[in-house]
Amino acid sequence: MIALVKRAFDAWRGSGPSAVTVPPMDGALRPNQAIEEAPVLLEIAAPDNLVHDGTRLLFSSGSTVYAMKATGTESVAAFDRPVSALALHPGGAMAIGLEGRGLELRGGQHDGKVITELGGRPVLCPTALLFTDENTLLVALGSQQNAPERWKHDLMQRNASGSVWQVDLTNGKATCFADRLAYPYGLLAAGDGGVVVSESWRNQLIRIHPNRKPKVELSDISGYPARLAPTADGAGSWLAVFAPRSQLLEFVLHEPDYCDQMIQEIDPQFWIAPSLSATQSFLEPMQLGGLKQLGILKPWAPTRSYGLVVNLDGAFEPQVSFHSRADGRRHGITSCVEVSGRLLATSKGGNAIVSIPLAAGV
Amino acid sequence: MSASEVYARWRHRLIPDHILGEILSKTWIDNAIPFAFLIIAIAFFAFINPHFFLLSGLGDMARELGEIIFVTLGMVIVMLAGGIDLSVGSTFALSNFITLALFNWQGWPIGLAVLCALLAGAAVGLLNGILVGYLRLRAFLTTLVTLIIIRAIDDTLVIQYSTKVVVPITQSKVWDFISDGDIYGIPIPFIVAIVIAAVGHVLLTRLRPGWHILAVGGSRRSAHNAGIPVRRTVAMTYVMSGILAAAGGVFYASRLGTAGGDTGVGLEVTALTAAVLGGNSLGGGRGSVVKALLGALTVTIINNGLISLGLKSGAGSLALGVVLLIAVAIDVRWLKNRHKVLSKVYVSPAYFKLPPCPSITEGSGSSYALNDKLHDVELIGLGEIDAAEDPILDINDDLFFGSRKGDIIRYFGPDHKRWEVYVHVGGMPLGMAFDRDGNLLCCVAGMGLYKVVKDTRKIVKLTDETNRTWLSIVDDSRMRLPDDLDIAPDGRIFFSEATIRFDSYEWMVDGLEARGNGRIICYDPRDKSTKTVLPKIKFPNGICVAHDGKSIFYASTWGCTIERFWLEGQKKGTTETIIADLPGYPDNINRSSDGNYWVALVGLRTPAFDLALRKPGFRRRMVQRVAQDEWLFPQMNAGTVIKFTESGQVIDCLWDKRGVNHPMLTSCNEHKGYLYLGGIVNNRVGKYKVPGADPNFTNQGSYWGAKP
Amino acid sequence: MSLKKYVLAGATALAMVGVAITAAHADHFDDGQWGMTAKALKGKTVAYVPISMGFDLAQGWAAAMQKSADKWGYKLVINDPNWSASAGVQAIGQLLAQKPDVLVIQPFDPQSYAKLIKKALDQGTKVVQINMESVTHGDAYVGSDWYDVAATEMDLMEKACGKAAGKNGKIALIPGIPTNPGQMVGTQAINDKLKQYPDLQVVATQAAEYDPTKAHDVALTILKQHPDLCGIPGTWDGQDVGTAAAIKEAGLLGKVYLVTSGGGRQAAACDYIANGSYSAYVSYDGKGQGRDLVGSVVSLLQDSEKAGSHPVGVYSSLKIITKETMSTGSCWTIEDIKANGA
Repeated sequence: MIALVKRAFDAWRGSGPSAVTVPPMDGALRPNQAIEEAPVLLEIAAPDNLVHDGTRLLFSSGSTVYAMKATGTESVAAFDRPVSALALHPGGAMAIGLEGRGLELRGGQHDGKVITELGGRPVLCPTALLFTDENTLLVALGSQQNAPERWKHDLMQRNASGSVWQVDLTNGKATCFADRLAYPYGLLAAGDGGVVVSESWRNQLIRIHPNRKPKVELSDISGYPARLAPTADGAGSWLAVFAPRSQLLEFVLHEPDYCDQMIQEIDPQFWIAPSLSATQSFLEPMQLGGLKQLGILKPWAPTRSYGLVVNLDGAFEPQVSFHSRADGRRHGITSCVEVSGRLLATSKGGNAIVSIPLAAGV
Repeated sequence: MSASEVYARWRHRLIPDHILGEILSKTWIDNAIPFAFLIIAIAFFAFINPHFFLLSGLGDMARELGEIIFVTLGMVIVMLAGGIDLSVGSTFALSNFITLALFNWQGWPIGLAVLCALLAGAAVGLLNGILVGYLRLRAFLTTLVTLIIIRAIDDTLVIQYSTKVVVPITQSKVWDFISDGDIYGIPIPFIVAIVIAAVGHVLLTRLRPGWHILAVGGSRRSAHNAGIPVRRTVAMTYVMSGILAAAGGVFYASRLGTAGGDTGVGLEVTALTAAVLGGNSLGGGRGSVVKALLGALTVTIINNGLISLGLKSGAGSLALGVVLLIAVAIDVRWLKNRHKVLSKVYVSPAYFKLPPCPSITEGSGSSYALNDKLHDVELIGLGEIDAAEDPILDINDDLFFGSRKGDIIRYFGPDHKRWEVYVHVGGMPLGMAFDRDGNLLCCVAGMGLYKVVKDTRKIVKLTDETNRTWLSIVDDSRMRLPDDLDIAPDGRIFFSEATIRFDSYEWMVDGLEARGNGRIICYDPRDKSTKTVLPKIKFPNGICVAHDGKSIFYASTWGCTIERFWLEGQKKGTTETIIADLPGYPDNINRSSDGNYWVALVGLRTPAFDLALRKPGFRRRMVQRVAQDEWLFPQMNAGTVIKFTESGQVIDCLWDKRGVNHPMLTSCNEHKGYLYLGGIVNNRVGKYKVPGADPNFTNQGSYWGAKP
Repeated sequence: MSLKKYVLAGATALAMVGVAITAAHADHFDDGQWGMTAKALKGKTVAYVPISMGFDLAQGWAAAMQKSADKWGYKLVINDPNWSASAGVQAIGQLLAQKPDVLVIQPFDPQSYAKLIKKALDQGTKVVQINMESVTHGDAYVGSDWYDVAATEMDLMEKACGKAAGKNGKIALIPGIPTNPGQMVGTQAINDKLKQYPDLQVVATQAAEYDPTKAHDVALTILKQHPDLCGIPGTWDGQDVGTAAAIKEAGLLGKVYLVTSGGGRQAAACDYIANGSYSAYVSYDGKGQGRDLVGSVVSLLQDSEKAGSHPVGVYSSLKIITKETMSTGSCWTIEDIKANGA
């Protein structure tokens, strides 16, 4: 009863869980223009999920998987629908997540294997894949209601129907590691047999383990986390953050009436919702601070899209970060990998793969 | 329309939420809490004791109230200058004794006795004044010491002589009248106190010494820097307080005719409570005579009410102490939080549903379809200009526009490279026009309608005041945001005032309200009269007299409409909407050379904001909870210029597709085949060649037939 | 109506108290007089404004009147000005607006209530002044004969400190508030007695305003200056508690002869006599005053004559209490009055 009254009071006053505060970007997250100013490795439409197995460097773009080589970029595989997740095993296997369809394996022992169901659920929204060994694949399903392209719907409907699975490729047996997650979007192997998952809509990283309770490793991230990748030395990790949080957005999420009507009536491109790319149309919502003064948009203006990669140490504490700010274009960073002293990151919203030189020690 | 939307619509139509914010922004709201205290006190004691407010009892109370008012006034005057006077109770007692001693015992004429008593009060005040004002001692401690000293003197006198002073040896009709008389049932001391209070009110609000007192209390240092004699002013307040306390003592003497050790004991607490309860700030600089009266009345009622309750000894003082504590707490909290509350409740959105938005998609065939015609505009004064809201040209091709600094800038034609500050107006100039004689007329934000005489550059105020709307809480007689103007053939000047609720720097916030906060005003130079013609319009902006001079077009920015108001003919006095569904927010309107009209759209409608307009509660909560920079707004980073016919048909549309040169357009003015584009938050003026336009067209030519 | 009749009516009323507790009015025995009294008193209002409700006498009087009011069904309204003449004026003003039948007041000084008493009489409210008298007479004065009180004290002083007793005759005066009506009369009595007993010599006079703390300080100073002081004719027990404490503090208990006066409440009088703080105590018997007061009030309530037409005085009888004369009946308690009436 008291809890109920408190919740109603909080909702009326905008305090407690109804507060629209957003953690500021300071400390290790202090903004810079590293992503915006970094050399562009490749301009290509909506690059996504960059993966690296020590020798091969692959990424997806639309329904095609490309390999990046010294000589150039070449197509490795093409599908009839968008690729939404990729994983590589040094043994030669490649796992591909297909939007609304399922998983396919190419190369290695299980070449040609197709998985369309996990534990009786259709594989609608594969968002991240990870080989723990040649026969074991970890799968993150972002949602049971929406395919990856409808991620905005999933956020604005305030869903939490994602799950993480362990699949034994030899016999097809699927074990559910965690359920009712709010859009798991990235996977990182943890040393103890568990896995660290980026849970986008809850802005946190959680460690899940088949035998233990989930543990929050990093909470209150200033944006929506996407994929995770280990650092080259294996001690830490890289976290791609694909969109920023904002007070207005948090507020809209607490206004179900407005939110639902917006989903019903308005094209998702024009929603008050995070976005992968910087403003493209005059019909997109504008915020007061986003008004161009004397012809200039300030980098600190409120924005619905942003480019951010965060370097985390072994304890998942942010150490260093790279940014593309409100006035930039290299937004919507969905994945990154560290390759020979450089950090490659896919700006899905900026249609480019950038290559950020890493200072020694990072 | 959903049920919740119907509810929202009626709820916001029937309940005028904006009034709360307007009331809170009034300065008299400071009196609301003291007044509430008074009402509560009256209601409480009337409820507990129905006999309390019997007329005969009130007479006695008013007699005592007169004394309390005197002492409280003195205390308030000292407090206004930032001090405190604890010695009032002792001064009061001393004055009482002196009056009785000189009149009853020595048999002096009553006038002389009273004068001596007042002089004694002044002397005590002067002592305080010298110690606190000139020697800069702490007011609290100093007056506490004087309280004790004067009380000791008074006690000694009372013990020695009180038996002698209480028995009058002479009679005085005047004295009897003061002590017993009344005028229409109102006791003399009360009447005198009210007269003195009125004098005090005039002193504090209208006269130099009063302003000095308030200035010193507000900020001692600033007052000193402004050349106010701070020390003398402070000292004077104590002298005044001393005299007023002594006057209270004289009336006490007239009422009781006795001198005892209890005279005026604790009066400083009573006066302090009254002052603070009335809303006079302990910190100084904020307070008034009315507040002092309110406080004195409340305290007297509480005091007498507690006596009439027959409470045990001491309970009365305890209750008064508690009231003082509460009053001080509220004083502090109110001062601290009033602006916070105000900022939370002032913005009060209304329900508004726009018609469906026409498409702007490139190649959609819509009249508003996106193009890139403004891509190659020539830029004038890039980086030198700030806030050219409405650039216009005179017949010599010189370009004029306002700047944020309060100047009107002139760029010399025909190349527009060199420039000068034409005049400095002070406020931010917005819409402009040239009259028949070539004088520059200009709407100045926060100031009104001004004229710059052609050759002398003399600035003349035409009007800054219109008729006040009945029952409007905001004082709408003053102009807050005059926006654009145009001149009818008969010389009448029609100009828009965009909003009466917000200042020019927050004009966009008015868009969140989507209420008809603006109006169109007419200034008639023939009899110099100003009159509101059309009230309650959603941000009226651009105004343009039709080519034939029989009607005016005006833009309702947040309404996304172009309206036509008839000055003559059959439809005289009526308004018709000629474009009801613009895809954006119209700003300034001007004539085009082909007999049509240009209008700049300052921003574009977005689906998210259109939806928010139908949800007033959503917008209200957003304003309260989300930081201002994060508020959802109409798209103001994109603008366009459209050309429409007299019947409202859109025949041309000019876009800056990338939003680089003219992310926001507030004005477009055609001159000799070119269109000059301005934007209020931009740093340039654009010059666009209009294909096929009359190369000889000028506005002055179009309006007045002027030739260069 | 003569004084005798007043007292008689009062006594009659009091005699009925015990009967009233057990019997309802309706079937009460009525000899004609009883019925008339009951009818005259029922529903009347008596307003009472002492100097303060914070001291014993005022409480005792209130208890006595309340007891009677409860029996006869009249209303007693009390306003407490708490030692402030100004507040007293307001309190009386408010009460008069309610038009009570009888107003019982204890003035601070001869002047401040004078106009109000006149106003009350003009509007038909009868006025009883208790223990202190204003310059304006009401319908009755009930209280001490202050001249006698002071004179009695001085007689005791002469007995203890005079030549006959073999003492030096040095005494100090510590009056209360000089303007207090009782004090004014008392001072006169002292001056008269000093003429009568030239062997008594006043070595110091300083007022203490009925404040025990002040009296303490004053007495202590006097005792320091005059260690051979023989006696102090006190003013009022409420103040002289301080004087007694000062004597004790100076180590002169039993050496300085302290006489005081007061209402004779157990804890304020007899207890102090018992412990030796006071050498003698002139009691004007608060309980007896209560009885006189009730008698006067009840008589006035039954009297249909014009207010203020026949002012009467009812003076309290005095009792001298010393260790030798003190008995169980010498003093009274408020609880006793509350329970049994005055």
